[in-house]
Amino acid sequence: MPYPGLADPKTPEAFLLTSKPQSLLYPSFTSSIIPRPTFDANIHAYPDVFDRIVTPYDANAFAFFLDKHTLSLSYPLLVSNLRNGFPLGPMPNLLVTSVLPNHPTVMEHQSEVDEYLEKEVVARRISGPFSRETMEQILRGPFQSSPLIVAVQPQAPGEPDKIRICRHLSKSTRITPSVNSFIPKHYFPTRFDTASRVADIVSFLSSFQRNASFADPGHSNEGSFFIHQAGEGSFFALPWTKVLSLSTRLAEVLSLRMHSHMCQGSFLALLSSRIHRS
Amino acid sequence: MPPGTQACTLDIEKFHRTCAVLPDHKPWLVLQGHKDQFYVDHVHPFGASCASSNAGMIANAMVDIWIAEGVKPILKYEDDLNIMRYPVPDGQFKDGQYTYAYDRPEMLRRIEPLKIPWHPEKGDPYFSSLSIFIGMLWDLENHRVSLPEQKRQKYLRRVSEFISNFERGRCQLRDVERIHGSLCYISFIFRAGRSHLPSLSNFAASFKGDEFIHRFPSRSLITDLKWWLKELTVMNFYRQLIPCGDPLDLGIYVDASTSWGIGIIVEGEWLALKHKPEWKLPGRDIGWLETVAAELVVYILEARDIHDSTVIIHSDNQGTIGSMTKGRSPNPHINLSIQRTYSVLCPNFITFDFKYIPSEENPADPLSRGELGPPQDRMNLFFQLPPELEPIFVYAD
Repeated sequence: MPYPGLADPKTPEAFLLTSKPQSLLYPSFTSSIIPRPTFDANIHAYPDVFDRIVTPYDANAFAFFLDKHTLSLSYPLLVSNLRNGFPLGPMPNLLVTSVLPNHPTVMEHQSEVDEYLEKEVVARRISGPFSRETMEQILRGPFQSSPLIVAVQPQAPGEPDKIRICRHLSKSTRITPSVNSFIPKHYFPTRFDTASRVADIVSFLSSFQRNASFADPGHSNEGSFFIHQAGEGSFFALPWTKVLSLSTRLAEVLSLRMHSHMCQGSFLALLSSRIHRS
Repeated sequence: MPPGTQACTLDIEKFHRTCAVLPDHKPWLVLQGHKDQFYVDHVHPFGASCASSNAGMIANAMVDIWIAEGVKPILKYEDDLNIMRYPVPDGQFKDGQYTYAYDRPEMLRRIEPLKIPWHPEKGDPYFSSLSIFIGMLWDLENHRVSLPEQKRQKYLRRVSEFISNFERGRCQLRDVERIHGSLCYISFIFRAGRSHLPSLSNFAASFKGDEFIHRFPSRSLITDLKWWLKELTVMNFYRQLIPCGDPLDLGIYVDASTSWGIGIIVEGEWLALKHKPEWKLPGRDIGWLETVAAELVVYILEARDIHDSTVIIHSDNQGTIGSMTKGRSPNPHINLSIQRTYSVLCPNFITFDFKYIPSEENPADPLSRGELGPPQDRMNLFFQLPPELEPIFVYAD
């Protein structure tokens, strides 16, 4: 089945439009953060556990490259988040400790779960085990423990099933709302290059192979222009910023309507036809 | 983009687990191993709603930096990256007859200071015109997408196990959801498969969210899964990715009425089919008639030897436009019509591009109410109707 693709895939510029990542706007949660008390040796424990920031990335290198390519304005929170940790969202004040029991699948795969926890401890991505009291001392107040759940994924014949150990952060009870219920999805934008988007690009390759020239309209978001051939011999230019804002709006509309990653690639087809008509 | 474009897939190891959590929010990320043995997460767990966005902020910045460093285009899906390169005249890196601006080590060197934890085994060791990205095998030279052989076997096994376990037995919601999710995903490659999915989603909906009850799958679900089994048994199946170019406007208009029948206009010629009273069954309504009108267009296109095209169809029924474009409908009668439509569309590489037209402007509207056009403009075409339609429609002239 051919992919319908963009309305006019004959222009090389359309390829760069398709392959160009969309800009996202990340909201800041700094003002909503409710800080835990400062460490007090009399009532708290293990400050290094509370303060630990584990990440392989080099925040200084990110700062350098973002600055070098004038990208800092697109990622105003990134370097600070890499250094200090990313907020989960506009989390409320956690007033009581809640422990939601693990899913029954954890009992069925206890040895795999133990092995997983040990591996995560060694990799320094989790700390424990601690009793409830110690955990409250470490975290300087109440905490919420969400259930673990084990998912088994069958593989190709002859291959063992994949065991995945997950936190069920959407689990709630009558008195305890889930962690995820405090994290509004629309505050957390994402961009995914879906199968449809790859198909656009791969299908374009065939038409470019029939076209000799390849002009790069530039990769800076500001000041460069997207040149589109509207018909035989007629061209018009749109600033990249306008193209991007249009694409962002369309992506928002689509994601609101469909709530699916799989559909996000198709906004480009819409975008192109919109531009084509304008 | 000249010939010789290649891709190289890379994977960020433990992607969400590379994204540190603000200490003040760690109290929300506690887990329990054995009873009263608690652990605290320092990084994002996969199940957190913000994980993709927060980790994505890092990866998106990395991609934007990389593009600015001259490595492009780049495609990304969570931890999965597909980096492309195309030949440039003065490239330092030669592969066959082409020269490129970078190879794998060079592109990695350009952002090495960021310390991205690349997965040592996942991904491609070098650039190639064949690359696996988001679980699909992309053939850049031949413009095709297919299932990697290992994945084909995995899905084949999943379908075959479901049939053998539940053809005569009851299953749980998670069993249906898992197989439905897999098949939805691969229907990107198996386009005709989209109309073999609604029996699964209808069945999943019948659980009403209850994770614990067991139910017998419907016969149509098993029939659909047997269709998938047959398709997945074929090795080397692929979907050709051809840009269709500008849509073909043949002046196609379709309409239907419950009072008389179906009217179709193609390039100024008309065709009308009157329905018999037997057409009306529960579930067969105006939406079904409108869908059948669009279905009949594919037989006309097939007779005219139209292929490899996007074809514009004007319809005044938004329901038909929606379900035909999606390739599926929860209504089993409409879904059968879509299945028949796609069984002709797919092998002929035709895509429908539906355009809405208000009823009063639709030239097929009078036809569908029995007001036939001039005899000299009647379409000189009779095709065998599918068995479901044959007893209930007659050609009007």
